[in-house]
Amino acid sequence: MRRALIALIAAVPVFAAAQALPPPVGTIDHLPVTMNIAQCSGAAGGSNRVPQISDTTDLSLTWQVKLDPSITTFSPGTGSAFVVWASTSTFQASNTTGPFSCHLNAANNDITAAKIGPDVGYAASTQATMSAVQIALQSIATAAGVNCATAETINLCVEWLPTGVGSTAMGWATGSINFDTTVPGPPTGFTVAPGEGKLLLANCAAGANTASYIASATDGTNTFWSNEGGCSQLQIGGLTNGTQYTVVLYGLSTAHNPSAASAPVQGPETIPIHTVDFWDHYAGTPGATETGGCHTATGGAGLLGALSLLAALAVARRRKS
Amino acid sequence: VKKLVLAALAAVLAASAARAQDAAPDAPAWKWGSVELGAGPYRPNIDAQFGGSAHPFRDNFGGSPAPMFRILVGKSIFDRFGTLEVGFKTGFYRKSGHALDQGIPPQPTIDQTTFNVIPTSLTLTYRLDNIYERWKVPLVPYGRVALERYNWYVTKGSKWTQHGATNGWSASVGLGLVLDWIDPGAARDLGNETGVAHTMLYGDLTKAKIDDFGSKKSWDLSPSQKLFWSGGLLVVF
Repeated sequence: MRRALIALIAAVPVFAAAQALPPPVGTIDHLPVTMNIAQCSGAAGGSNRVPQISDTTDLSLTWQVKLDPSITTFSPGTGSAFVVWASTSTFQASNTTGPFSCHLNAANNDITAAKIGPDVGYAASTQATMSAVQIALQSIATAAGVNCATAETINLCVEWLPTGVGSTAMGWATGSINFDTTVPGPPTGFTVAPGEGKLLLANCAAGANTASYIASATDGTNTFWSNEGGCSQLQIGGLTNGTQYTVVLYGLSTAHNPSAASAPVQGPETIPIHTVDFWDHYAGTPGATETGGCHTATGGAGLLGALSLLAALAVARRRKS
Repeated sequence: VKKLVLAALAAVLAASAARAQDAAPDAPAWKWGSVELGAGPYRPNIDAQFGGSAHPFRDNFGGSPAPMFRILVGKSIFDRFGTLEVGFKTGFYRKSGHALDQGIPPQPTIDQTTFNVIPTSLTLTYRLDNIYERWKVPLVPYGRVALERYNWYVTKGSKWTQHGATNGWSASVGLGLVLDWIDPGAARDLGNETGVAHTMLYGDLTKAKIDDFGSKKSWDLSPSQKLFWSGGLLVVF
């Protein structure tokens, strides 16, 4: 397995003061929780990639390292660094005993982990923690040797190097992210209804492993997309009344892997139409009298004003008395 | 049924008479005014102008009424025998439906349209609350006249497509059930702590004419019922 080497060092002020310590566990949290095929393979995406889906390309990592018990005060100096590793093999089984570095499980010594991207310079934190470090998901997959076709669990490990790269690691944390290759089956049916400059989908027949949907409409030149959502939320807007569109629907897995496109739907129901709201309907009815605005026959508005004045005078008079 | 109602009324009066002997009158020295929160089913009478030949409101919104919510703040101007208040009332009404296609007859589409009313009223209310304060009868009648201004707007989707205002008048009669009567001690405590003189549940019937006083350029936003009923909670303080 190859090592990916990217450097990212955040030069920031260091807290010199001794800190109370050490964190009880070494853990890594991250978002997104899973990695999908497009995120694994980068912006180009897989063959089914739906361009409208703009998932994050970065993994946001937060960690709290377990320190070597020999450290009684946590006072990182300038040059202190965190290093992030990824592997499809597991790191040390124990999180509470040393060594406090990203060594691989003894049973898998022949498999090496790859460092993900940069060393992370120690920020001005008072704890052995780091928040929201962004690392490209594709670089994680590359570092771990994932081929973006087979589902894997990618193990992550962070180690703390007190005096920078090359020094002995004195703290560590572990976590993992699932690379999810589940692709939903294509939707087997849906209905479309036209509105003013839009189309609304309903009655979606889901393929297997479908968690949500996204739909598109094309007039042969331009393609318009719905938001992602449940079947009842799929509306494609920005369309031109009277234009024939072809509509297809995609299923999305929980990790946002899209299905192949459904069979296209095209017909009178995929032509947006002018619709008549209540005002247009009323005003277009023979005998309609209301024209909007205000037009009182006998000075009713003035009457309202006069009554307001009388009321105000009455209140004022009552106060004086 | 009549006998039951009469018997219940007699029981209330008898209990009230007994309480009246036990307790001193609870009338505060001066009532500032009142606040009223209520609602009633409303449907504008827009279609009536077409004499049955067309019904645009029903086409878009169906035939059922929707609640009109109202809040009234009244200022007491006389309280020697009953209470006379001037007040301002406002509220909100919304009826949602579907925009129509251009077929014959038109059919509902996926697009939404709404008819909204923000009614505003200047009111003059006379409430005979000394019936309770003097004789402990917990049923307080009242009457109200008002000048009305129904500010309305129509939407299609999230856009306003037309708006306007229609003026008119209304007259109401109502009855309040004084909740203090259930536990006069607690009511007195509430009054001492918060200044609330009385709390009532009320119901009333309203005759309203909201057609710009007969303007030929206006539609009729009067309630489609001959008498519009509403109910709610009234707090006098």
